[in-house]
Amino acid sequence: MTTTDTQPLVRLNGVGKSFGETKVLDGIDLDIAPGEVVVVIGPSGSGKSTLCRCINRLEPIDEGTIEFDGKTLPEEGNALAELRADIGMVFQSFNLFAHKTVRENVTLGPIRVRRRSKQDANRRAGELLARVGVVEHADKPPARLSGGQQQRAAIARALAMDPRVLLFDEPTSALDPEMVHEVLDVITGLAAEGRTMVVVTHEMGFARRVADRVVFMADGRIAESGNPADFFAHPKTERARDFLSRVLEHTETRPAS
Amino acid sequence: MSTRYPNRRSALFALGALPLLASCSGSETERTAGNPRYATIDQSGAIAHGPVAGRLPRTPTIDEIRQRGYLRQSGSLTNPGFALENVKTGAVTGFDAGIAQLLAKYLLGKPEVDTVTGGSDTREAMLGNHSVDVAIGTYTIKENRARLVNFAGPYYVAHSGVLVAADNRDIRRLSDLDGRRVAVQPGAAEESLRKEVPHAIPVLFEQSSQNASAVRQGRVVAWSANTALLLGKSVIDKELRMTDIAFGSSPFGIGTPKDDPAFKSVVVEFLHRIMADGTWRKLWECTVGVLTPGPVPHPPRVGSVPGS
Amino acid sequence: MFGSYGEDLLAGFGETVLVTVTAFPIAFVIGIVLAVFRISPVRPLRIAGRLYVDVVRNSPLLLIVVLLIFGLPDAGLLLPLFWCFVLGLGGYFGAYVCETVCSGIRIVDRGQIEAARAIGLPFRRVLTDVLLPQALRAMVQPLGTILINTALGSALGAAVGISELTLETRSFNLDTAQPVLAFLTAACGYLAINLLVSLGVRLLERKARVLR
Repeated sequence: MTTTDTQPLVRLNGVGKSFGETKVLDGIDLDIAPGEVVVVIGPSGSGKSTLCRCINRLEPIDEGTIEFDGKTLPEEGNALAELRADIGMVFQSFNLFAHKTVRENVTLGPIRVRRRSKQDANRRAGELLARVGVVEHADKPPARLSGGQQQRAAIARALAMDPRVLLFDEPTSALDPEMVHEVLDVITGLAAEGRTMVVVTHEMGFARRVADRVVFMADGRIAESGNPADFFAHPKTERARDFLSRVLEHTETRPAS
Repeated sequence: MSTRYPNRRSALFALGALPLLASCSGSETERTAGNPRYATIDQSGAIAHGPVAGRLPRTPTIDEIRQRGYLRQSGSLTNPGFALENVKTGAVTGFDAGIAQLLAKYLLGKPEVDTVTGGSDTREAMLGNHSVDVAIGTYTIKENRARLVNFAGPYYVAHSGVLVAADNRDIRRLSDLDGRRVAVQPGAAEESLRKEVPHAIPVLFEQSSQNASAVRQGRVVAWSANTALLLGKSVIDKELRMTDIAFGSSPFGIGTPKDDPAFKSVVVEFLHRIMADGTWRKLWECTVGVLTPGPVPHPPRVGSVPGS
Repeated sequence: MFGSYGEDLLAGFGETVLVTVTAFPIAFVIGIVLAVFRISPVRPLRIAGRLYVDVVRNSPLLLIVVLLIFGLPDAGLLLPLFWCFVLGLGGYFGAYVCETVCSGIRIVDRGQIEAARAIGLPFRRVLTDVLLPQALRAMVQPLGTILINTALGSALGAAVGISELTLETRSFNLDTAQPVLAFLTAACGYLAINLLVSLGVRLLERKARVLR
């Protein structure tokens, strides 16, 4: 776990959540240090996506507390909206605003929430779109872009807010296989910059390469967590061993030993 | 008295139910059944006195009426003193309703009438395509209408009066209405107002109670309608006052299909009969007479106006 | 053909247009506000929005109009006839606008709303920047239908003292006894309005498609 001398940027304390009878999150304790890249893996239905969505309170929680930068997340309202601006999120299905151009998708938050001037926001959007490699599509509606391009634009949209944490909720799961790597490359680049990130993914190779820490979830709990080298080489729990043996068999990005 | 009521008046019926909500004057049906004056109107005595024709000539309309077993007419059910339906009992009371019932009795031996409330827009059309046998109900005889229908009558000559709020002293002469908003019901009263007071601004409300409300609430300066109706209202509503102003004369006739002149002759004969044998006078006494003070007038001379 | 009535009929047509173009924006604003109520996170607002739509949609338009004309003065508020009628029409068709807006909103992808919340847009901005612009595009056609219904509904004004097309037509017929000519003329008036609205809807839809 993280050392006590740095205060965690995000702290989950006994977080629980149920959908009806089903407990999807159960007693989650998780600290994320500034600059740390946490990759969350686990079988489908293990609650990893819900965990990610709870961090910026897109999903309300039933039990426990979530702190961001030492402050408990407020209830739904303008205070929460302000806080969300500091937490960037990238979704599985991109969720670009269909009625706006790619550039407008990126500038909406800075103009409306950060109160940037239109010129400033446009200039910065241009830089970010260039960085993720879709600047030549800036004035098209999102529907004209490929999935991979859309997801990279969505990442630019999240970055435009200068977030202090980036959440990735299965960012490549909706992509055709040939587009996965172009998105993972962008995320990898961000990780290398020392950004604080939580990435929920099925890409084991990516997890191994990029994560400072891997969190393995099963049945709504954190079953195991640790540095990726140890985790992939010597999973401690039966669930993790089982999961890895099944996943790695079918993954091209087999961990190099 | 028995009367038939098909469901053909939903629109007007909705209108009729509304002013109860709107005028909010306490009793649940002050407008119609609960209204003491109108409630006392009951023309069944006059109907009982009415004649039955001996031998009738065969005309297409008479054949149809006989085959059907009742008279089908275009008229109103919301015109106090002339044809007003009691929502509770279904009985239709008033002078025009009485004429229709008497005609049915004259033709069939029983006063069975089915009233179609199409309003004043559709009377000529319904007579033209034989949807109804007759049109009875404040139907003013006019020459341009006589191009389309045959009028039997007049059986009644109405005069327009002016009703104002009780505290209104401004309206003394007809010309005082010039440039002012005057409530009026569509049809005979509207025609009369447009013709005799062309500079007044007519504001049309379908229901007599709406016209009364409009005066009470100050939406209009006056309400113009036939004197019998206005007198009835002013007697029961202390907030309203009848002025001395009277104008116009609307000869009411019975509209009959243009292509059946023999039927018109039968209806004319009917009018002569009830005027001669005292039935007309009895009907007047127990309908319009209840609302209007003064002696019973002489019935008008049938065929005395252009178009009849 | 119409004698001195041509002018009256034209004035009636003008009044019908005036009533329609005044009532529809009122209906639009009421509908949007109700729809916002119905999707708002505040429960009492949701209930109020729901109640309004249910009550109004299940009442005859005439009842609402008559209540405004004859009920409001008893409550001490005497609005001009025109405004009573226009408010009645607007309030009535506002309920339908609300239903249209709500279904328009339902077709906007949930994910985009989450994305808008995730970048920190407050509720108001989520509505005005993301939800409504997209919902409105899906609503052009049904809103056009409501506009046409507003024009047709304005004919009820004839029963409550508004000198619009139907009333002038009736007066014309009352005096000249030419029902076929009279009501054909009125029908042409309403048809003209409806064709114009349909044309406008088609143009707007084409514009919306280009933006896609």
